[in-house]
Amino acid sequence: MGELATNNIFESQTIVADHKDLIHDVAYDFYGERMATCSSDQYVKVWDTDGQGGWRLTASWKAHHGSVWKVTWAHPEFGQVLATCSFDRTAAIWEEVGDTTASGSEKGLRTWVKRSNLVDSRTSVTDVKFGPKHLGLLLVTCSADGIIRIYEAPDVMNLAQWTLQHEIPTKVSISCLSWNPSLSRSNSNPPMLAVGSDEPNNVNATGTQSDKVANNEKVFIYEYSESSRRWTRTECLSSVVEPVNDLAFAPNLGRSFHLLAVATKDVRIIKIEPLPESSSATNGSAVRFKTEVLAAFEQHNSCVWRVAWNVTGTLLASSGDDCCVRLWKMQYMNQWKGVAVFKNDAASSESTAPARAHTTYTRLAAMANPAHMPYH
Amino acid sequence: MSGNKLDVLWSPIHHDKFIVWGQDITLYDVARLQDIEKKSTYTQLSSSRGATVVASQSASGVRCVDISSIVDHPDPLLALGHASGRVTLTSLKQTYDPLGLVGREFVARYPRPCISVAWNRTETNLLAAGMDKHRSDHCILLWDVQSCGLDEFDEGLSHPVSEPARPIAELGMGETAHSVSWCGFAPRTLVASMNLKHIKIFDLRESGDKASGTATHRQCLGAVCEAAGWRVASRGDAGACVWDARALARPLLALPTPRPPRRLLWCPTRRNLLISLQRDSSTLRLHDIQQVQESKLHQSMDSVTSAAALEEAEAEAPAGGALERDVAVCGAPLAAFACHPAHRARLLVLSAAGALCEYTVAERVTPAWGAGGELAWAGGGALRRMPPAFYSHERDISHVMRARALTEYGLKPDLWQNADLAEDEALSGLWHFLALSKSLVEDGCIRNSPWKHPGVRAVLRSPGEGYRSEAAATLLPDLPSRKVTTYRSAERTRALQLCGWGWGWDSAGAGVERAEAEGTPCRAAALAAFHLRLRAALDVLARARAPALRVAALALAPCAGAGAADERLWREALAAAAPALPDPYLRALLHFLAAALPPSAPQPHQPDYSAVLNETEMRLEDRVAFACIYLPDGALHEYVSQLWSGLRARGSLAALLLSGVSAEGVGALQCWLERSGDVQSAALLAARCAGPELLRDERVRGWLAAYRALLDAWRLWWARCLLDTWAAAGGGGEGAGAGVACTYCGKPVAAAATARPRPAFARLPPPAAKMKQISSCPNCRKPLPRCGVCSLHLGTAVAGGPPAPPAPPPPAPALPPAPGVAGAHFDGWFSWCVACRHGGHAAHLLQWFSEHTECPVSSCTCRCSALDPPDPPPAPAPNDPPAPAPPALPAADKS
Repeated sequence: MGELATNNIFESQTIVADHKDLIHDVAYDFYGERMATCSSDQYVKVWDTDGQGGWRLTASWKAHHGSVWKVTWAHPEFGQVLATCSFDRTAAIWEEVGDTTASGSEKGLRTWVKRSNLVDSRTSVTDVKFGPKHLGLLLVTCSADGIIRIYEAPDVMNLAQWTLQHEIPTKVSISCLSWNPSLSRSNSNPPMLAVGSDEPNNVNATGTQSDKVANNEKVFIYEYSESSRRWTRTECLSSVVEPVNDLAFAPNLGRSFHLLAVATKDVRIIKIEPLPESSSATNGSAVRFKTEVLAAFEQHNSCVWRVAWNVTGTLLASSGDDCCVRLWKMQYMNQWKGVAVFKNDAASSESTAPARAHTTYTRLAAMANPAHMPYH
Repeated sequence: MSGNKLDVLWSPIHHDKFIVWGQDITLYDVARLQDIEKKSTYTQLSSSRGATVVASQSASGVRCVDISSIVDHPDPLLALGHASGRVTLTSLKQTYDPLGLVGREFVARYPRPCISVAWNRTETNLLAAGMDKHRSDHCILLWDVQSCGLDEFDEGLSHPVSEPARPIAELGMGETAHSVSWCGFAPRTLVASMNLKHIKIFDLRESGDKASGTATHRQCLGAVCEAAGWRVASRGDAGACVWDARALARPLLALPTPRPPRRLLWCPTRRNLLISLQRDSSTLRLHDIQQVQESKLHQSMDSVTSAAALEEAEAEAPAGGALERDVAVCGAPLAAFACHPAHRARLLVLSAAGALCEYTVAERVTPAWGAGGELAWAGGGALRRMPPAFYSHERDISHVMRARALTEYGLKPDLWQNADLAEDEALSGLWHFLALSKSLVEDGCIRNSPWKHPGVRAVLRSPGEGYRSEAAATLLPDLPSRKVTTYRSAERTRALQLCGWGWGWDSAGAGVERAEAEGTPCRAAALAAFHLRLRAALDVLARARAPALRVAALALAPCAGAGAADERLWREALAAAAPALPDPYLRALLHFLAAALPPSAPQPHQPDYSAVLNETEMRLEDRVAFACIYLPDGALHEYVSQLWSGLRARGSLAALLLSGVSAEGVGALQCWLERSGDVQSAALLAARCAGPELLRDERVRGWLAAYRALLDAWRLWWARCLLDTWAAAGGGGEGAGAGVACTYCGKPVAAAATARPRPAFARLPPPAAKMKQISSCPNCRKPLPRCGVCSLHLGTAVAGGPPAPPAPPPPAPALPPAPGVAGAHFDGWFSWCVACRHGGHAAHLLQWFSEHTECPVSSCTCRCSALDPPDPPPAPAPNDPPAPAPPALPAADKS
């Protein structure tokens, strides 16, 4: 009942994004007042709210020489900064500046300038994310050849300078990554990254030997050790063995555990609970977490594309092969349920069918019956 | 393709018509299921659409089919290529034929199979046919169907084939054309697969039959060009290839497939999407072609590093790739598919068994959440947004918290004021409890508590600690003959006070009246009865508005009337009726009476109150208070412990009544937070009620940090600031915001003017009136920096404005000046540019930057006002560095 109503209302809330190709990513800024989109047409667009619930396009520029996969905002503390990554093997840092040549009435015009181009990858850069603010200005990228790169801007005033701090080879194609947004800086919560691989399962490797099965794990947790100054893989989630399209840590609002949503064949919500130091010490250093699959939803047919958490980590949005956006909500402790479905309905796309290519020559025949004049 | 000849084609102009070509050629009409008449037979295509047969004709001898794009034709006009070399035009349905094209025939000079026909999509009168090899004839023939038939058209349709039409162009002498198709990048351009080894592009605008481009490759069959672009796709035994029509020297991309593709099509509605169907496959493979644009032009504009990268990129040619995925359409092996010409990503699939199925390719939809709870997603070329009405259907905690934060929930000076803002029973009960416990502690009723808000468990010590309650047989005022054992001690009294009951009828009577006034007569009656005032209980029930309750009073009457022999009857009736009563308090009341008034003569016995104590719908405080009166020490302790562990495990907020805001209370709050996600209440409770010790707890700091981040994201800085103030007042003071220090001695400038201590607002600057006029450092007497505009020292009043007392930049950047309050003094505040560190009086700088972008200090070219993004309105102002080092970033700011 609620779903129908929401579907109807939502009709009026479409913005024509005017991207010439598939839109790959949408990102809100920290305040939810600006939105950036990126597309296969190699453009990035920035939208600002007009205060009445509408969006106004304020910038659009060609950012890369290939499809732009992801776009992400830095914390406003660092200025109005975007990072993009692309098929053209680069990631780029963009900053919004005033038009320095303009003055007077044109002062309001703003442009985005490329502050830095991160060219270390040899293959398509599949994801880019800014690190949690308390770690400074950190950026992590991952590429199709499986290398995770962590960059740091040592001087937050100078966005042109990024140093490659860590390079973590994973040997599998990495499609997505997510920082653990935990705000605490204590020792029990070192900087943590989850990465997901979209490496297709090798048919020969599955089921033959147990050690081969281990290779099918698709989600890895990396943690930074302050003492060794290295990122190490501390956990492989054995519950996910299908290629992963997206994953996201939920904002940690004072929870003692982390929630990780994984988009694979289904929508998975995985609870990652850090074990107390004592118990991990008795088990040896191997086990740091207790993981538990809280939910696995298969409503998106066979493939889930993206997952996204709301600001409190209580609503999860997912999109998949069924052309729907579905919302999932935590009901009671660890119980998750679908609460809404938004159809990316075909009806509207039919009505916006492009006009036919202009005919260079048509023969105008006498029209005997106007009813037979089709489609004009 | 020619094996069992099963194919499906959409009409390029009739969006609801397609043909299936097998043994017969059948024209179908697509309609929504509800529009199809019940009686007619139809083939279901999808959950919403079906297709009905319009016309059909035999397809014997037909080798190839294409549908024309002539707009004026009411029904699809087909060109059929026959094995004999003829190409005939036909419309399956006999209808009106405005152009007189139906039935026309085009014949090759020498008979051989016609392998391929293709209508031009823009110049709709052009028809190309690819023929088998003949040593003395061309293999590609072109006809202009309209101009050829022009003469006959005027005379009528009697002899359309009297004179064989002559091709307007002939190409490929002595070759074989396996497929011909028109190119999208230029008019009158053909791409053809020839001789099993070439792809040739013919530009008909050039004279002669020489190909304008030729590629020799194994994967050369079925060349098709994308609708608007230069790319050509071809297939072969080992996969597919993508070519650039401008540079056919080598393929842009090779797309190997496990099995030879039978069919290859560019998606007409989406660029870069190539769809292939492999032999005997039940899946379609979607190739999302990715290309790095050649960008030599951009090279010079980019920085040195990127130029180097591009050189590398070129070394690693070909720079392109494809994201491939397989989509299973209907499980069965597929024979053919066709893309709808206009509808986005709509495919029609024909399985080998002849079943039709419609399929929509799902594009990647990307959802994203905004901080304010907006959900946007991109799909189908548009951005869509979730309607705000969603939250009225689904009350998510994020929305609830934001609404509460807007009402200054949790920040009101008195704890109980927050209760109503919560709009949640458990939360408002908790705020009332906290207000109560605070007042009890402040009044000195509860002493020796380590916490500001002790709970029942802290007050009631365990019996092992050497306290004993005194058991007293209490007379029932209304039933003189009966006695009930009650227990009392100082600890129990305090616990009762925490539960809001108080000891004795004097304080409880007020509670009864209050409960009655709140519209809960049952609770009032039960409270009275628990205090052994049966008369009062009866009176309350008698006054109740609901008649059912007045009836319930009947049940009480017999026991009040000093029951006699019929008491057993009453007791049995009670046992049967009590569970059926709707109100938990009424049930508890009856259970209590049944248990407390023993049937036999008064004798020392321990009544069984478990039915009352387990009445979980009663409020927790009433149950605990009841236990505090009627349970002996051991049982009471056990009951409270049991309650605590149960509530704690369930993550219930009520557990705080037992624990208070204490170390274990923090644990209970954490459980509740993990269950509900309400970090707001947890953080506010901690900020308001936790002592310094608890505020140092890692979990509590986590709540506060998380809630601060939320408030920042919601732009509720005022609320965030109040939260910080409360937390600081609670003892968990975090560092203040930015301050100004003297360049020379390094001491803070503002600290010299010692403001009188104001506990709750210690971080606010002292009132401006109290400030001395300081234009020099109070410590070392060196002058403070000058304003870049008026050249006066920091600390002097702003000329031109109202004579505002100068306040040195107070350490409150986190505090947005409330309109009308601080605005009067703001003109004199000092502000500076973070880049060049020149500064001046705020009013002067605002005035300056309304007309300039450059720093007012001469010889400084810093474009201070252009440094920041447009939205945050205040233009940062430049200034001499007031502090040798930039002030430490405010820890509380934006954390």
